[in-house]
Amino acid sequence: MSDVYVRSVGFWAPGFANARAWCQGEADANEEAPGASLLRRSLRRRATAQTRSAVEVLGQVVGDANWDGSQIATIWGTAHGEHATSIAMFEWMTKGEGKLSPTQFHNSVHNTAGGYASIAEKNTTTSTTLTGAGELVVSGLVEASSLLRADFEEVALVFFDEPLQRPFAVPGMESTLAIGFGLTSRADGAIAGLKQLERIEPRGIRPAAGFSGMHVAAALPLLEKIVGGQSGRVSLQIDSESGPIWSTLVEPM
Amino acid sequence: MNQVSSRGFPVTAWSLVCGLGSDLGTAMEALKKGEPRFSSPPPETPFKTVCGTVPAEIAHLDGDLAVYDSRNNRFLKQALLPLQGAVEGARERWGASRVGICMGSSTASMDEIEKAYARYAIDGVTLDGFDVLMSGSAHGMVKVLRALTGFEGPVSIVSNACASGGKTFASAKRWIEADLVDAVLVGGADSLCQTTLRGFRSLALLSEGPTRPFSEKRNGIHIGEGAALALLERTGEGPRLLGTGEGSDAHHMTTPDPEGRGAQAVMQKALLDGGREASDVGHVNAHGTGTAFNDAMEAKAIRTVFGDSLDPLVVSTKGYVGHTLGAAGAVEAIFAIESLMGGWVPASAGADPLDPSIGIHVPTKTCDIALNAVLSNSFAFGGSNVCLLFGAPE
Repeated sequence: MSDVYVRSVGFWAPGFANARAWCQGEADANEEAPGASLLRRSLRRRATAQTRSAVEVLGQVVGDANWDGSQIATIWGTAHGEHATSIAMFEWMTKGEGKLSPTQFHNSVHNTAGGYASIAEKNTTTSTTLTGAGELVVSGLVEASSLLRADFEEVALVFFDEPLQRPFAVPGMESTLAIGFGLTSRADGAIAGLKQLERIEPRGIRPAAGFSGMHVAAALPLLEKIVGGQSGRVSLQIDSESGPIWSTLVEPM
Repeated sequence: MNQVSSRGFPVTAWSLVCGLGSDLGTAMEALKKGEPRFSSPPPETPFKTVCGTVPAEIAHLDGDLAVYDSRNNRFLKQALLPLQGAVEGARERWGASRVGICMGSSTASMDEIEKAYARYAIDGVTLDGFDVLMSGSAHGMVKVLRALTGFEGPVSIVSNACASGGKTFASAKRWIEADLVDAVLVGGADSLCQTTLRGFRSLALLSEGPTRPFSEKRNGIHIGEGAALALLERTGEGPRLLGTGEGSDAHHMTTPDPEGRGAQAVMQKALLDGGREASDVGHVNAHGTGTAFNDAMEAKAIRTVFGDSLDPLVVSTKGYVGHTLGAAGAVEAIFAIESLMGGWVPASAGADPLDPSIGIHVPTKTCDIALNAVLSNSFAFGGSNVCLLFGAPE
């Protein structure tokens, strides 16, 4: 991976309105729903809760970087996509209640957040949604790195997921989680640099409480190191089922 | 854009499984003869439609891969079989860590989750042993392909609905240009499920019979399934992925921009990226869903890109295999490559009688034609668009 610079970060989970609140452990019980102010009212009304959290984080990333949101490439990473919407459709189908909701159907694709965000920002540039599990975070960085080497100077990378629903629920997925990074090919104005994407031996990564079952939580150590102004190698996976895991070197600017 | 490729990278091997057949040769024979293949929808489908079902029963995944067994992942294994020699060659040539995997899917193994949920709905018992991630998501696609290829480079799974498979070619090209890897196994897979059949029906886009893109008798889409794989390498022999164009309509979640601006933009980007003019392109494999909105929008975009003096042969191969959704971009890229290499363009199945207002050259019979370059379009929910430009071998 060529050098990638981090210009901004974003975060949203219930109780934590932004990355600083999360990293400092400043929970706010009133932070129950993401503002997602990029979405005009008609879009916000139709968007799923998960999409609103992802778009909220995109807004933080773009706003803090002072970027034009209509010009940047976006990459979205989600292990399970719009799972809650799919479950709602399954329930409807098994009840034999006739036609599905068209809105639910188009809200069920993995690139729902990317679609809403592009409409909201009138952004006609490329938007790519990635899925998968253990290697999702590194997939996002690879995609971002290649975009920054090719067509774009600015890329917003947002990871998000929501808890799996009954009957598929698993431990360690307590709430929605969205994490974002504003990535650029330029060092000026950056808060950190990311270098040397490579595999290392597992380091016994202990995911944050409440998110141990969420693969997008693999981006949390990276977020925390950047916000904390720390340097060093950081793991990009929380599982080590197949030996060495991906990592990157963080250097504060 | 600050980096323009004029030569692209060779596609050194390709394969597919689709409604026309469970191997490339069978499928291409049917395509060239102009013989679509339709089947009944899954028995639980509560309305009339047809599907492009993969015709053969394909072996289940076993051993260590049994946990990832699904129809979707079986398609991938089947599609990989004829590529084993090419896979081994790439691994030896570049080293396993320099070969990546980039797959596309929309619903992946959603049919497995639907079945599990249906069982749960009957008895209300949580399903012991069913793991959404392993058995019902796209995660298994790269696990299966990693295990079967030995490739150890970066992996990703693109899920931009019906643009997914096409976008994998664009990502892979960038990965090689950025020197992250030297080769990438690209492609896509999707299997039939009730969510998409009932979902497209809810949007009044699902046909009762076979889809008829560009026909005055068009009546919507029919759904297909399948998988397609291609090996893109830094050097080698084969047709070349010259250019790619990606973008977003930024218009509506399901309805394309009626002016076709997003479609036009990605075709023009692909040509610019590949260093070619529209006059170099003799054939466009259209997204061609057979819906009124898509047909009109795409035809308008093609007319704008090619102008009045150019007349490429525009074909929708969805009339043969249905809309294979997340696999469509990869399946149709392979159809386009086969046309490029073989010097023929299939009839656009179902297009006769043509919509007189369409204004593009849609062949209703197979045509022999020498081709230097072809385009393949894919458009998707969320306004996601991608166009691939392939050129003849150098």
